[in-house]
Amino acid sequence: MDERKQYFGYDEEQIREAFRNSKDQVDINSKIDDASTLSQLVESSDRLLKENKDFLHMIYNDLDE
Amino acid sequence: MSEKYKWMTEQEFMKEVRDLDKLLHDFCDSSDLYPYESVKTNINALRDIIVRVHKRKHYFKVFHNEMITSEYKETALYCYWFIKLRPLWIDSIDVSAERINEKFALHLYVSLLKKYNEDFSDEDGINKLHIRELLYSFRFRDITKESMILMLEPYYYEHLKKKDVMF
Repeated sequence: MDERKQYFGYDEEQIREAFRNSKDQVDINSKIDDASTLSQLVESSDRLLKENKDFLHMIYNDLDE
Repeated sequence: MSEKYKWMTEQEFMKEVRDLDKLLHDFCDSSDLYPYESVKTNINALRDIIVRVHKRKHYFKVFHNEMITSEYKETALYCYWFIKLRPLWIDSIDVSAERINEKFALHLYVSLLKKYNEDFSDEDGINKLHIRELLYSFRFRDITKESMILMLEPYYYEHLKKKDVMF
């Protein structure tokens, strides 16, 4: 048995190299406006009521069947 | 690594409560089924929703390179938790009564689109069949936080593309 292969079939140096090669993969989508999200939703919800009331009525009332 | 999680202040919490209450008012006004005065709320569940969203935003900051959570992600999180914890209810034998949390989540969803994807109500945007599918999914399907975020994020990219054609 090869004594260098110690962990999961890899020697310690290979394990360490895998760690050093790790890259942080994260998404970068970030906030658009400084105002809080909920306050923005309040503003647009108000506009929805004024401009799209029929649409809202349809989606909340007519789609249950 | 970023700093330890700081609990939201009472003031921050009250601000979120006020905004959610206003959204509930609008939602109730736009539907014939849920008079605001008849809607009851489990305040502890509502508190948990607000705190959970706040904590998740901190998580993104710590593990996503100081990322400030986008409006799309945050709205998705609120939708997820309203559907999961179901803080709202209304006493009624009407079948629609049991769907109040799903529909309120939908109100958050369309309010966001109204803000950043204003053509959503046109024919090419969200249509009746899509909305019905969304409501069905909210009620009966297994939706994770991540899949809720995934559902909303295409609109984020659509918004960015409209702002910058080269995007």
